[in-house]
Amino acid sequence: MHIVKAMGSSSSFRGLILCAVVAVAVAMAAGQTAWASVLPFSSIEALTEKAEVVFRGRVQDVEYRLVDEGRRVVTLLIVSVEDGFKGRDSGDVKVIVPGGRYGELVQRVAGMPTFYLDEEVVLFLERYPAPRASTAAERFTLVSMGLGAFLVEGDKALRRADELRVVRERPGSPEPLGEKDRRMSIAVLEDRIRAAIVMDE
Amino acid sequence: MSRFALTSLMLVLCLGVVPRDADAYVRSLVPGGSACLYWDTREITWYLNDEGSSRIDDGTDIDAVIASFETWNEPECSDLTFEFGGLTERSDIGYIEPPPSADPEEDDNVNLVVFRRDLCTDVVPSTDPCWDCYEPDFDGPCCSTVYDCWSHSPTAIAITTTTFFTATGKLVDADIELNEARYLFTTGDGPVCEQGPALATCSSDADCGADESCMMERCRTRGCVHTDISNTVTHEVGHVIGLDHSPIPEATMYASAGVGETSKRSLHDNDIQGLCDIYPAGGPTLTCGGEEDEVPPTGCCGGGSGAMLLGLLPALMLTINAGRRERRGRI
Repeated sequence: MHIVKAMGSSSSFRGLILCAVVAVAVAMAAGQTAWASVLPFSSIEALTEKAEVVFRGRVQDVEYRLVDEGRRVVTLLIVSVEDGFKGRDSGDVKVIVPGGRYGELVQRVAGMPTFYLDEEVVLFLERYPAPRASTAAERFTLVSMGLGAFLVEGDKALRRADELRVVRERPGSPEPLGEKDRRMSIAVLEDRIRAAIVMDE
Repeated sequence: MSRFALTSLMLVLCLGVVPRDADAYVRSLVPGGSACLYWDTREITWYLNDEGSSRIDDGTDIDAVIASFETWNEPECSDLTFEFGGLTERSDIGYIEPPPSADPEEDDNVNLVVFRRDLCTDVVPSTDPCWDCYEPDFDGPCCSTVYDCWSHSPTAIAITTTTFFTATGKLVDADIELNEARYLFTTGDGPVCEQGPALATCSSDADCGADESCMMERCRTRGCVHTDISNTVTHEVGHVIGLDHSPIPEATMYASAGVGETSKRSLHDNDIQGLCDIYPAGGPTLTCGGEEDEVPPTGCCGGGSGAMLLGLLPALMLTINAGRRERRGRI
């Protein structure tokens, strides 16, 4: 209380702190790593409708694999379902994310987020197409790339869409991927998913 | 520290740190790191798949792609040059790391632009073994390579795949794919199409049923601008050279685009400044944050968050110390 009061009594110091915080925020925003992929915006409701599986879970395993005769890298995730909304209630889900790290090189498919071990995420997934009968593994991939992936941080859900260039459906229409679409409370995100599922039924 | 001094410092910090519009280009960084992406050559050769756009048969598709790269060659303040290597039959995306002893002349990797006419899910039989290419015991090509098809999200319009060194950010390969299976690319200057970007919307007033070629023709003959090739590829090329999205809506590197947009076929001052700061004519390439760099880049936004935060550290230290001193004085 005493310290708060002492700090609060100094307008210069308060201003300086504010300026520094703003500057850091601007610096961090300016430094968002991104490459481009271009796609139309998808709302939570549209993603939910399109996805076969929607859940909140945790990344249990991240494996990089060199494929396509050595020219491409993919990341294979195992994500445990902690709170299933659609398609899955529990268990592990295998997710393919094009791009990843191999040796000293990184290959990025723009628009595909980078996942890290033990991250809490909300994922909108569609089945990886046409698995052969001989392939027992059931695999999924993200719906609409980074638009279909949220990182959960505390009570916030952050959409992993920094690497996307989003196309507006109509010339002059509002910014399609504004701050409220990039960051929302996890409660709001889950409510919207559940509402969309009810609507879909 | 006196109140006057603190206020002065505050002003200096604010004016010096917050990006001015002209400076606000942003560089791409290695994921999870602070190294900026860059090419260590000033001549980047690229190729175009010889099919070009299968929907455009008057050559304007090829011209539009070439023009997109040429646009980045124009500013005289930079000597970075994109060299068109020509049309190629190749359609494979990615990068095969050559052995260390390999002759650079024999490097088989190419920077490629390719239009994908079909979705893999539409043309590849479900029994084809290429679907198993992500399995650990499979060492053949993936379906997109075998069938020259779009294997990404069907909703994506264009995708850039880049390969670079983790430690330094040095780029070694960049490929651009355009999804012609679901989107109508145009090259003209007509009015903006009223529909959304998805091809399916073109069937709304056409009696085409599911006939895709019919839909395409109806769309094309409307003479409106849908997804402009130059507007799209010029932006992608900005990423190829290591630029990230700009906060300036008028910049080519801005993060969103409108249907029918053509204004970003050319570069904004902000894009040019990024190009010329990183690859100045006659000067060294501006790198940052990598293991090979001893000094972070100077200038606003030159190195993204990592470098900027480094630059901010002394100011933050001063701020904290000033606060401590002030508190000590008051207690």
